[in-house]
Amino acid sequence: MKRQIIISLTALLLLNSAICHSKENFRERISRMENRYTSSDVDEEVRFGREIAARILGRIPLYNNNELNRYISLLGKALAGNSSRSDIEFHFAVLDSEEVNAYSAPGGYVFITKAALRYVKDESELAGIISHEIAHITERHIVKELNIKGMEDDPVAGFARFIGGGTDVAKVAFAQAVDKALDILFKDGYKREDELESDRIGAIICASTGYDPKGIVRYLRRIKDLDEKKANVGKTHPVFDRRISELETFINQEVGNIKSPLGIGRFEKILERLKIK
Amino acid sequence: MKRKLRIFFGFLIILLGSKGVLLADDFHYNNIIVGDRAAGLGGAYIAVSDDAAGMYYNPAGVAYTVGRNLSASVNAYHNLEKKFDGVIGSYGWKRKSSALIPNFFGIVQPVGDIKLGLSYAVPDSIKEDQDHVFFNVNNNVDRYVINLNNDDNTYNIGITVAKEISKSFSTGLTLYLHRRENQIIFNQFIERTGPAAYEWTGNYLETNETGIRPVIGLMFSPADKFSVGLSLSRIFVIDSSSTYQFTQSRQGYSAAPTNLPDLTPSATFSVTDSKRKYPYHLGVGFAYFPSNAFLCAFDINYFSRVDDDIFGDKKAVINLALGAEYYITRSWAIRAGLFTNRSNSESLPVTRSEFSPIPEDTDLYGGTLSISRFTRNTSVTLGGSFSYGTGKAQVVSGSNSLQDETIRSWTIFISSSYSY
Repeated sequence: MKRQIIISLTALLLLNSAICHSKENFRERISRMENRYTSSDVDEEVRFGREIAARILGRIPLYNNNELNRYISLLGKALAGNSSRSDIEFHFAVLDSEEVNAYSAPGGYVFITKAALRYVKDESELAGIISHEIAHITERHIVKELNIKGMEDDPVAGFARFIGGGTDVAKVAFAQAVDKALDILFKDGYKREDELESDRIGAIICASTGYDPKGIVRYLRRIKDLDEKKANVGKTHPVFDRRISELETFINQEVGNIKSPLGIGRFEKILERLKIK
Repeated sequence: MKRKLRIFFGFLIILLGSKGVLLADDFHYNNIIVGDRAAGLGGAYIAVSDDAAGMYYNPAGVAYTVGRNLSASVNAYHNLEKKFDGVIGSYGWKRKSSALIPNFFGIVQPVGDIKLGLSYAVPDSIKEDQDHVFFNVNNNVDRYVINLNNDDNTYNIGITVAKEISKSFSTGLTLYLHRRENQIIFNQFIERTGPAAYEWTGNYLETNETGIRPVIGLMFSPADKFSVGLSLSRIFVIDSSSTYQFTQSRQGYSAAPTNLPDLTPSATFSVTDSKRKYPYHLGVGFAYFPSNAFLCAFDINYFSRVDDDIFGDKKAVINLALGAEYYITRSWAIRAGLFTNRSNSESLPVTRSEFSPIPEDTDLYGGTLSISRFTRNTSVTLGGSFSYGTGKAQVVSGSNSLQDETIRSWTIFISSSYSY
């Protein structure tokens, strides 16, 4: 009897692997396919992002250099002004970390590490890194992944909550979602398609702001050659070769060979003045 | 112990025996359809099961729940009516049960790459509160008074773990704590005015049953937009206790033709720890999702044979369910279903077992209908089900005579579900 069960289960698994096929989620119901975001959703996104930003700063301290933070903030706000999210206020800061990385939290919070700045050669590269992070926010990658939504004002929703019980579950769910978001940022990484999308959107933001969209490509090539122990970017990002290849193809097709300023001189002056240690 | 109980229940009341007290629908397995979406689909949910109610039907489907955190709550008003023709003289006997029950509550949330859930279900509930008076039943009974109070509820509460092995295959397990509580107070007073005679019997029966009900589920998708679900479950009673109190008194029926000796008021008490046996339940479901606005599902539920000397043998039964869901708009969906609730009774007449309810062999056929209103994170559903059947019952204690039986059952429910 036991043998028959094992044989049956094995056959079922083999059958499944034979029929395993990639397809869209056919179980998704039309009632859950609503993509419209309300002001309540944006409020919740900002609240959620603020909590994540606080947790990030709890792990990695802010780099204590007001002038550098102001510069990054000015650059970031110029880029964010050319993004698709005018409904949120963006915040930018440098983290005092030796890991080469950058982070973004929903609601407009963008961080870049001190180590990451060391490998930047011109302002367009820096703009590329920041634009990539802005794109994670504009495309709501974490918001969608974790289904972050605001409270509904609809009377039906209120009635559903009334007959369904209390709202403490929502508080617990919020805390769990924050933990999950931190896992995405520090451990698991974004989904590969989200990273590639951010590369593409980031390139458009750069070009729209007047920066060379290929700056990020040059930067990626540089850190690809770094010792893995120093460049922790690979842990939470897709392999560089694919990113670089797809991004170059995209820029050539969609942006073309626009000669944009690289901002080399300005950036070097700033670096010289700021003396990033 | 058994002999004592046989004496206790074998006492012949003129028409109805004490054995006939129980109404809990032990002869049917599909008495209350659990869940909101599932209830709208006639219970055809084994291959769908991708929300909180999946924990009850097929925990493997829970792996496909959408949303970070989802809960559902169903409150139902359940009504059951059984009518037996020509039982008390020319009178029929109608028994009704109605109860407002928290039919289902469930919450699911992802933890890592698995889904964990907690659910509570009430698959059966009886609440009778009745008083009957029958006049001029026959030459020996001018007035027959029956007072009956019966509460019989089955609860399942448990945890679920489900894992999506691949986009096309998932597995899950629900472990329910099974609890059944039954309390019956059943009094009969029979009176003859001339020559004066009376008989009084009072019964109190309480049964508490605790066990576990594991539900093992598999779900796979052999083709695009098509899913197949399998679930296997059974209730294993771990602890059971039954307490009986019986009081009686009779005067004036000693002469022919009744020849029943006078009885001074007396009371009997007894206890048993016999455990009820339940069938294995194997369910196979098929669901087709042609679009994101339409689905149809079909379930086959097999319940194995049960051999139980104490609570009665049950034959193997197959129940079917068929359901469909259609979104009229993004915010409104309707569901409809058909189902069977076939009798597991052996062919009548049967020899009554110790604690078996009134033997009956009546297959039920029913339908369900529900409408849901959706917002982005929530839904509210209003729905109902109705089932009907006619058959035979063996109501009179100590007799093999059969009576016509008609069963009507309906449930209305309101439910909500929401995700965070």
